[in-house]
Amino acid sequence: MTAPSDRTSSVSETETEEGSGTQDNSGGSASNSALLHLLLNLTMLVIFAFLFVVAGDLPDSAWEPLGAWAFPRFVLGALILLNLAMIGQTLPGAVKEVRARHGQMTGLVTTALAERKLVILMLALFGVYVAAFGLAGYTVATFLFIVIAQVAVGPKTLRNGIAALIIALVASVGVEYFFARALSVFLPGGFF
Amino acid sequence: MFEGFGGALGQIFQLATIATMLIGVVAGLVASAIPGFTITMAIVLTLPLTFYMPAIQGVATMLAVYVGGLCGGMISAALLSIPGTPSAVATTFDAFPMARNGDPGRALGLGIWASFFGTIISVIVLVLAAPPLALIAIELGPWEYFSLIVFAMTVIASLVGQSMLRGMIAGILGMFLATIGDDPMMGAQRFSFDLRMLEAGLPFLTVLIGIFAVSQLLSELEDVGRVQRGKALVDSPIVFRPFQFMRETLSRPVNLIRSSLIGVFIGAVPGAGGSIANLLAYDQARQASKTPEKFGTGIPEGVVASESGNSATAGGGLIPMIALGIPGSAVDAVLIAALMVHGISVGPRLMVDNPELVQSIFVAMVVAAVMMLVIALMTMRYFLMVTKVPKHIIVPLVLVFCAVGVFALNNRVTDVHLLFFVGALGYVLKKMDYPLAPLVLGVILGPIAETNLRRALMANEDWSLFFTRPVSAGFLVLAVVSILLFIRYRYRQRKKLQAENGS
Repeated sequence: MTAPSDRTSSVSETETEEGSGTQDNSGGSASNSALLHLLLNLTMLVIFAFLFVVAGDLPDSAWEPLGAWAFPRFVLGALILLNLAMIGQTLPGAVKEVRARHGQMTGLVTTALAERKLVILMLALFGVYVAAFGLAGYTVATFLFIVIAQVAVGPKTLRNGIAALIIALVASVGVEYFFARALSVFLPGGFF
Repeated sequence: MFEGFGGALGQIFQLATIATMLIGVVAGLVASAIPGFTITMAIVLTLPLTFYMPAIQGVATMLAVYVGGLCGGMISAALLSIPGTPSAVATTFDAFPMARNGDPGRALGLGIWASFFGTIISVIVLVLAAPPLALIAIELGPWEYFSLIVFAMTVIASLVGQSMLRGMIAGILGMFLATIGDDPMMGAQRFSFDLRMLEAGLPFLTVLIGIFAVSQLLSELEDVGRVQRGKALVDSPIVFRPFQFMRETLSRPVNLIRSSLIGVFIGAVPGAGGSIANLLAYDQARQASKTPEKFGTGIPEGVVASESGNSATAGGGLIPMIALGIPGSAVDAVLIAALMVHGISVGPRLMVDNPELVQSIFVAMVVAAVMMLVIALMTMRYFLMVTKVPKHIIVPLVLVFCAVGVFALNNRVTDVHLLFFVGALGYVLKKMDYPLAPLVLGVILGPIAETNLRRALMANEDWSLFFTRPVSAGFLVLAVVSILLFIRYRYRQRKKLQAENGS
């Protein structure tokens, strides 16, 4: 059985075979890096341990043996144990990796980030979009997001620019109108 | 049983009813193909329109939206790896790789036919076995529900991918995420840290869309060269041969019938529904397969199992509704509301007092399934054009639809903010090889497990009841069997790998 993430790799392999790109090469390196796994599991361990302590302050119930705290504590306890097991599994590999890549860590991070520049760009734009969703309103935020995102990640041609403007207009004004008129769902108006 | 079907046929085959059913199927198909727009939402939006229709026409139209929706969720699952509805999660496992391997037409074709046959099989079971099955379902107490959830959680084992530990972390993380917000029994706030965004908890659909849609869309942008050259999702020419796909679906009768029956049974259990049915059907198909290792690589068995499984819940959900007046799912609850608006009380006397209505529901289900088949086969070529849209266009556009879908659910801007954070988390987990399906399953099953565990212990503090009540014990035995089968499969896989390396 292949996990969803594994399937992404298989897709990228197909595409690479076509000679069309290098998708997920770095994705492979990220998922293969024991050091990154160790860092992720350590982070999760700290967060889950903190939440486990917080769960202790949740109230008991007068009518049932298990209060509001019980189930979260079962779950967080299991997550702490599983993360400890993962740390035990990845630690030797991480130590080897640090020794092998001594002095090259900065370069590796820079390369990984460069390979994902469009992902980071889109995530940043999407972050600004969701922040503006309620403030500037759906129509304005969506129009600007689609135009900027499509031009930023797509081909820098006049055709793409015009296509972006038309799509943005339909997705912002058109969708807002459809929702309001046909479904009586009013998307945020923001300042406008 | 069948004497009143003539009258029911006459009721359904009226021009107005057929016309509104056709519109309903198209609306369900399109709405649930958009990530974030669930079948429940489509049905709820249809409800006010049915107030102006006669009862049978109203219910038939809503059933048409339902059946169309069950098939529509598969479209974005297969083409974009984004489950259009929660009941299409397992459809992404094989339909998406099949589409990406250059066969999107086959993925959709198999899905449509499996959906059709799943619905038809569920109607047959519904007509024949509604009263006895409903009685079994109603007998389930909190002990049985909890054990059912334990059994459903073992499905995680088959979704973990390469690392069992990572799969378990993902599944239990999903259960934890579901504990954020109000406690289900006492209403106490948990882990919200006075943040408005977290006060209402993490809505399941926000998690589903963030984890699957946002992370998948971001992954599409990793190949900088292809995106900047304006390349489409699938480059190869698309083939769509409906009758070949029908033969291919029917050539797997055991898988089809087994998955449909799982769908019917899970649908009949109130509160379970299509999201659990399609994962269970998929898991059972994998366990029964001679080549389980091929599941997840784009094989027809996976598509047939998940789609027939979730579509069969339509008929299954109607079993307790018709026989006992208990909704099998949120959609059935809306159907009950529609009937009540028309002055029809739903309960054990429904079959006695309104036999024509009940028979009309049976006929409407079959007619809606046929309509769905015809419309889906006719329009699928246009849906397939999605795969020809360049990535730099589709990614921001679908991200916007995701945000709209999440907002429209509860009219909360904070849910849109949550979508961003959940999406970013999903992307990081995906890149670190954490399987996402167990996480989503954990979010679905966590609250049901917690509520029923606490209810059971509230009713009786004796833990042994989970093992001594026959149905509960049955589910737990099934859970153990499921895990043992998985361990055997893993052991064999490892042996095979060692033998290959040795040679």
